[in-house]
Amino acid sequence: MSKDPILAGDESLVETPVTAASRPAFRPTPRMWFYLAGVAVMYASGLFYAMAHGLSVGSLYRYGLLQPPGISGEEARLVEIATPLSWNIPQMLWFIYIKGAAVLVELFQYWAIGMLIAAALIVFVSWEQVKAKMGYGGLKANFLAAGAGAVIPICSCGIVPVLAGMVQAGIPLGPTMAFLIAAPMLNVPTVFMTAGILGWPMAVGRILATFGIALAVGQVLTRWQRKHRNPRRFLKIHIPPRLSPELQQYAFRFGMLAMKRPEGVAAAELGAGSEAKLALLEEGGLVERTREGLWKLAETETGAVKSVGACAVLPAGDQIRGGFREKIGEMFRMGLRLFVQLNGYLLLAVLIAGAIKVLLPTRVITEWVGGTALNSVLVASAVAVLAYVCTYVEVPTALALMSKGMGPGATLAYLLGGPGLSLPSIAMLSGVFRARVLALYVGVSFFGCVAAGYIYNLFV
Amino acid sequence: MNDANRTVRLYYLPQSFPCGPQSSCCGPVGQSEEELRGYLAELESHLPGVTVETIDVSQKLRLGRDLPALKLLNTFGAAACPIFVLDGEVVSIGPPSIPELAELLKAKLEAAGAGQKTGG
Repeated sequence: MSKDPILAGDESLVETPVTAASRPAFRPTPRMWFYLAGVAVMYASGLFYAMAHGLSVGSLYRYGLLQPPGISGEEARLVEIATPLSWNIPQMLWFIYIKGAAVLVELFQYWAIGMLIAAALIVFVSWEQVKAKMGYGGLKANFLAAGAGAVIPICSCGIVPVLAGMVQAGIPLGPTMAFLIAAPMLNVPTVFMTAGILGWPMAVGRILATFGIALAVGQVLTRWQRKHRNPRRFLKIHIPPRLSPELQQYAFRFGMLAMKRPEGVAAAELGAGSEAKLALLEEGGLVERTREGLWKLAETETGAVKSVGACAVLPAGDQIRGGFREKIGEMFRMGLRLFVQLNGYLLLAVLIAGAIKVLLPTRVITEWVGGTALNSVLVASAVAVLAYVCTYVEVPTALALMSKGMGPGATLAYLLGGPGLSLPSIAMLSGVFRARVLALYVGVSFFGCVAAGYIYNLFV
Repeated sequence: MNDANRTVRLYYLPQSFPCGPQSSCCGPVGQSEEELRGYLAELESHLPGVTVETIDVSQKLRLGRDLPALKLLNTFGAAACPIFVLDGEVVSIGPPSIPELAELLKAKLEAAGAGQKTGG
């Protein structure tokens, strides 16, 4: 390799792109125990409050409402004890807490079942098999990726490391993006909660709309990537892919030669079949072709990427040794683990739902996002993006907003846009994707939410 | 030929398990202590007098001295380790066959020695 005369004597220290990180075995933190205790206390409070005040326990379980017994029909979904707005702050806080607790009592059953189903999918589905079926992208692969995203319980805040892991695993950008869109917008626990609390039509609408948006973005990216193979056209960061041992050996041989001749190496110098191998390395962003038709190592920025493992959140069916019995045991352990890890979101969700019920005047909701007009869906989508509703929080808050008069289409747009598209996740992804990909992701997701809400209003 | 003052730099990544202790899905990544000791012992036996300097790439590197290794790590990531560098020239990337590497290094050292004699 020719030495850079300017850098040759440079003693400045630089970080390398690799770290010797390791993930310790799971142990609940004190904060997780605190949230778990919080959930237990809140659940008990909701139940005791209803019993102590002679309210209907059945309504509490069915609708998450604190209402007197004997109410039936449509009224049963709407009537709740009055909480007049006043400057008595402790009383307001108590009402927020107790109405949130009522939502928690209803939500908890779907939450627990959903976590167990999610755990079963993680334990019984092999990520290696899913990956193998994705191939080079295309409709089938994008559909499969969106489906994989839909069954894996990750929040929008955790998608960047997963993106890095997927690119590292050699999954094309179309399916990767389809996965990343579907994962926060849709997952088993939230589908269960949506169906249980807001009804099956809303859950089906949510599933169809998520797949529609994920497939639209995935298909466009698949087309783009077929045209431009180098991932640098789409990604700002360089993530070294995992290569097969043969290609790895070839890449290293090329690397040695390219270090000696930075101006470029002719494919013919590396023997027969080199063009095809170099094209594969180009797809991985490792090499690039010069204007003269020579090949050189791709220019990368120092410290541009950290080594990331994505397996923490991906199905690990192939990693669990033993038979069916062991897997069932692992499923319960994984379910408990997910449950313990995510209780903080549950508490946050029900407290926000309680606050909406107590503090937000019904008039504001009915005026802005009530009815079935297009503007209500537009406003709901915009609010969802600005509000940053974390996955799992959207269902209880949507329930509270619906009880205040939010329209059905606007609710669907909120359910999709809240966890799927938010300013913090756009900010995070802007550090990963180039402008064109980011515009595609944001544009299709936002207008997908609006279109889904509008179409839902036409049918319901 | 006098190899006594020649130094081979061995860039390595301490072994880690990104997906949890002893997991195999994303790792292990890097070189174990035994592996590293093996490389050192083999090189010492094949190339007496040559100093092998080990450099942990999970720590910060010196831009001037370590530029070739840095470029390879940026492109290939942790898979490029171990990297063997002699006089600023990369002689091996990735897990090597030590006898082959020793032969290669011997040839390079001899060529350099011959060059010095001719030049001197």
